Amino acid sequence: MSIKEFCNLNLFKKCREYGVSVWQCPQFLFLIMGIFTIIAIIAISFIGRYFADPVIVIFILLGVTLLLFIINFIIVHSFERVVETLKSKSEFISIMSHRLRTPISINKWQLNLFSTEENHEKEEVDELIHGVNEQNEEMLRIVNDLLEINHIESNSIVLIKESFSLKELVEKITKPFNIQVFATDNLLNVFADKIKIKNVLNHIINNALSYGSEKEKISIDIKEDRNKIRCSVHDYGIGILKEDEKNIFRKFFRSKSSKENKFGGIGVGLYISKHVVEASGGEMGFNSSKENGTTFWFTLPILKIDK
Amino acid sequence: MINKKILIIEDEENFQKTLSETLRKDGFEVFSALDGEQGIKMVKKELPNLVLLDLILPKKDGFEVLREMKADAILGKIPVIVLTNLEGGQDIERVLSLGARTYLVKANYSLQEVVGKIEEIFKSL
Repeated sequence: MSIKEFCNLNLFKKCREYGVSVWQCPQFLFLIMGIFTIIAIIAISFIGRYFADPVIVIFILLGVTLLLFIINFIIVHSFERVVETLKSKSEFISIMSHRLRTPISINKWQLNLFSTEENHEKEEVDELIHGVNEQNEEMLRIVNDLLEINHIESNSIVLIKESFSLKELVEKITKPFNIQVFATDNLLNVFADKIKIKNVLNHIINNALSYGSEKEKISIDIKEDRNKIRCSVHDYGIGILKEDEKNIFRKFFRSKSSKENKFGGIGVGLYISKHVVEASGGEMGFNSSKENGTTFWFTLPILKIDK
Repeated sequence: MINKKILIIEDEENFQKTLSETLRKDGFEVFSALDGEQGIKMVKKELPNLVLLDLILPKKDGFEVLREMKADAILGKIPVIVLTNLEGGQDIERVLSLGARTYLVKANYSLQEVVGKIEEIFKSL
């Protein structure tokens, strides 16, 4: 390490970069141990001078050694935390790159096939454009998820809040699916990021469509609940396994049934949705049972008009 | 001349479609399965000359399909090309040790190159 680097050493900045708190940060803990060791040496030599009894000195030495041992243990543990953070970042890059490879390869092969043929019919051209467009949208979704996760992890979700009717947004999204929407009359507007809430709704509704056993039975309730608007999406599907419940909002978590049936996705939708809803000042949760299916719900703050 | 039979076990319909169309144009008889379970059933029923196998599949993954095929005296002789977007050192070693002929990463190969690999394998038989 050069002198310049040493002078620029900002422990708190370094710890932030590692993504751990100072008490879990190796650099900071090393500094604390250094200070403690110096104080301990001075204190023991001072005590040794004035208390000639070697038994007392031995006990004090033992105590100091024990404390140093504990600090060392914490330092090793903090290294583990840093390694875990790095491991999760590398896992994240690997999962996202694999997911991006699918639409990229599909486009590549579709264009391959198209270029080997001559004299294309208009229908073929239209089909190709539609296919390439679809895969582009998928890539865009993946990259947006990626950016959103990055914002969540660095505590910097950007919300462009506006006043809008949640009922109208839900009706617009559900129009192609024949989903029943029940909303109480004269609902007030919510105040949130419309694009991000649209993504949250899309995700929950897609989940209901994938996991629900009878698609026509999906229903959505919108009502006022303690100064907030509450939206619940209910399906009569297979329900969430008890063992999966605690992990449902965890990043990259995919339930056993989703893997077996290949419902797609990589398990970031609910993780992002919960963080977006909470950053908007709402809450998100679910109720599920094998008999009655699953209800995902979230609340959003009502627009307050200052008079 | 009897056309060679190729079975594609692939759950992504876009891959399935482009690959089948290309292989049919090149004179192969093509069958397809959208999951591992259906894949094994089709292998037994059609006894193809070659199998193109994806690894991440619903119901039964590609590793399991390969293991079941290689455990059978007749099915074990059918050459298998693993065609996937998974690319871990361990995955490659695992499928090759299970008896796959070769391992191709979809993103790194054009359709024509995949056909080239298939023809190469048929020539070597």
